[in-house]
Amino acid sequence: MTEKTSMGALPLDTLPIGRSAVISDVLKKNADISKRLLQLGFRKESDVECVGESPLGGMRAYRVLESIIALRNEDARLILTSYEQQE
Amino acid sequence: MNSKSEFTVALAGNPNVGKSTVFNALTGAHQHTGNWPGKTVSSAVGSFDADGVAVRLVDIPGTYSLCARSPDEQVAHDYICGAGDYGAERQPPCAVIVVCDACSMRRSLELAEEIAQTSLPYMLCINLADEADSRGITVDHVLLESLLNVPVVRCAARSGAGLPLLKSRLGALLRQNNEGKESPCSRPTPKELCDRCVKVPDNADRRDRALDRILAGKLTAVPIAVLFLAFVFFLTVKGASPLSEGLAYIFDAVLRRIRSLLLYLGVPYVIRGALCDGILYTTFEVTAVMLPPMAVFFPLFTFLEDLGYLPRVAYSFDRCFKGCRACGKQALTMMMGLGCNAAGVTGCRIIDSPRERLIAMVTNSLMPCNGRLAVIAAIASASSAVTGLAFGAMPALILFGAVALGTVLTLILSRLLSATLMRGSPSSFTLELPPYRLPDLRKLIVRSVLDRTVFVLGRAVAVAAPAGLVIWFLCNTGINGTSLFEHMTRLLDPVGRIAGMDGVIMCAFILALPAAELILPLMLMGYSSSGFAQLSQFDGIGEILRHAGWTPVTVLCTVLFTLVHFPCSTTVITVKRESGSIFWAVMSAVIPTVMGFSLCVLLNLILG
Repeated sequence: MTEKTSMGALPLDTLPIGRSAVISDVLKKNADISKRLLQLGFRKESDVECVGESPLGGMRAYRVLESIIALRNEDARLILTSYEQQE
Repeated sequence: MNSKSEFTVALAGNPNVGKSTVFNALTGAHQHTGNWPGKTVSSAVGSFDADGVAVRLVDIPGTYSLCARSPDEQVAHDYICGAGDYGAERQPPCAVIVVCDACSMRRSLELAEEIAQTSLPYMLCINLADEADSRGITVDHVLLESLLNVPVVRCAARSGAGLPLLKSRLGALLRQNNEGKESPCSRPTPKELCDRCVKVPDNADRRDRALDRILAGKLTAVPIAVLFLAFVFFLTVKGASPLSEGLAYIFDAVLRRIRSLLLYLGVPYVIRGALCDGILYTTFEVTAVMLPPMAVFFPLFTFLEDLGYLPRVAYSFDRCFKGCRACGKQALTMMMGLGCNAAGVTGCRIIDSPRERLIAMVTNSLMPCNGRLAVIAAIASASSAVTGLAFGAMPALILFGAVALGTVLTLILSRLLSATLMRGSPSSFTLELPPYRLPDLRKLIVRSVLDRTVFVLGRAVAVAAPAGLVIWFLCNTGINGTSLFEHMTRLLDPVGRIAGMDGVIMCAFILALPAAELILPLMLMGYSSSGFAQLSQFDGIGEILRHAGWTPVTVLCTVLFTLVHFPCSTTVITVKRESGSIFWAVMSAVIPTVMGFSLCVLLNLILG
C-alpha cells in the first residue's frame, strides 16, 4: 500500500466525521474513477468535509462543491488531504 | 439551424437539478422525473413556443461534465458537440439551456463553462430557486448575467415560476441568431463566479444532515429500510386485493355478456370457446390480478425515489453488495423487481459497471414480482387447509420469509456469478446523496398510476391473449380422449414428484412463462375438472389443493420454486434488450430454474 504519511498528506478515508480538509493531491488509479473524482469536484485545493459513514461500513459521505458524494473507502484513499490531526 | 421556422434547443444540466421538471413544464410532455442521478437515460423531445419562436426542445441525459465515460454522458457530449447522428427528430442544437441547481451553483457552473467552450449560444436557468430561498442561499443572477454576458433566469419549475421569462429570453436569444458572441477570454472561472454571486449560509443543509443521521445512521438505517419495505409491501397487498376482487367481478360480468352475445349470434363453439375462455378470460384474469398491486406499489416506490431516500438505501447496503463483488445500487433494482422484474431489469441502467449491471439483471428474478407475490400469498392463505395449522399471521410470515430468502439467494448467486461466469473485481462506485425534496403528490400519483396502467394493459393484451389461446387449445384438443394438457401433466409428473411437487404444478409453471399471474389459475384448472372458467373466486383453493393430495412439503416446495425459477417472458426479452446478449437472456432464465429445482429436490429429500 503506497501511503504517504509525510506531513499533510493523509488519505481522505481517515478524515474524521465532521472535519474539513483541503485536498492536496489525487492519485491516479484507473481512467474511470480518476475522471469521475475530478468531475465530482475532488481536485487539488478543493475543500472537502466528511459528513458521515455508511451504517454497515465500507463507505463514507463527503461534502464537496456543495453536494454530498459517497465514496467507497478504497476510492477515498486515492485522495490525499492535509488537515490537523487532533490528539 | 434547421427548418426556417423551428429552432432546436438542447436542455442540459447536472443530474438531479430538476431538468425533467423544466422540460415537462415547458413542453407539457409526460416524462418521469426522479430524484436519482442517471435516471433519465433516453432523451425526450418536445416543442413549445418561446415568445413567438417555435422551439424543439431536446432533453439530454444529466451529466456532471461533457467529457465523461458513461453512455449517458457520451450521448450528452456527442449531441452538444454535434457529433453522432440522432435522427431527424434531434437536429444539432442551435442553443443550449443549462439548467442549474440554485443550491449547487458551483457544480452547475462548471458544466456551463464546458458548454460555453463549445461556442454554442447558451443561457442559464437557475432552477429550484424556492429550495434555495428556504435554505437562505442567495444567487445574484443579475451580477451573474453581467459577468458571463449570457441570459440568466431564475425559476422554480415545480410551481411554474419564472418560466414565462425563460421563454421570452430564450426567444430573444434565438432571434439574435449567430450574431457570434465573441468568447471572452476573460470569462471568470466558476469558483470566482460563485465567490461573487452566491451566498451560502453555514449549515444550509442542516435539515438534510439531520435526516441522514436517522435514515442512514449507524443503528437506524437498516431497520428503517426494512420497515419501509415491509410497509410498502403491506399496503400493496392490503390495498390491492379488494381492487382485484372488484375488477374480477366486473370482468366476469362483461365476459358473461360477451358469451351470451356470441351464443345468440350463432358463433360456432370453437371460435366462441377460443375467444371467450381462451383469449378474453386469460387477459381479464391477468389484468385483474396484475394491475391493482402495481397501481399501488409503483406510486409508493416512486414517492420514495422522488423524495431522495433511495440513494440512502444504496449507500447503507453497499457493503453487502461489495462483498459479493456487486454494486450497492443493486439494492434498488431488487426493490424495483419486487414490483415487476422487467422494470427491475430496465432499472439496472443506473449501475455503471457493465459486469455489475449484468449480475443485477440476471439475479433480478430472485426477487418475486407482484404476480409471484400474489401466488405465494394465495398458497400461503390456502395452506391452512393443507397443513391443518390455522395461524392468522401465517400468510404474512411466509411472504416476508420469501422476500428475505430471495434477498439472501440474490447475494449468494451474485457472489457465485462473480466467482465464475462474471469474474471481476469490485469496481469504483460513487454515489450522490441528493437533497431531500417533497415530491408533488398529485402529479406523482397521476403519472405513475397512468404509466403503470398503460404498461400493464399493454402487456396483458400482448402476452396473456396469445397465452390464453394456446392454453385453451391444449385443454380442448386431445389424443385418445384426454386433452393435450392432461398428457403434459402426466408426462411431467415424475419430474415434479422428485422436487416435492407434481405434474400439474410443473405444467402450470411452464405454461405461465408469459405471466406469473397464470400460475394459480392453471394449477387450479389442472386439479379440477370444470375447466378454465369460474376461477375468479379464489375461495376454496385450500380444499382443492388438499383434495389434489398436497402436503405441507408440497406447499413449501411450490412456494420455493415460485420464488426461484425463470422469470416471465417479458423479463427475459428485457434482459436481451438491455444486455444485448441472447446468451445472458437465456441464462437469466436457466440459472434460476436450475437453482430452484435443485433446492426443491434438496428440500424434498430432507423433509419428504
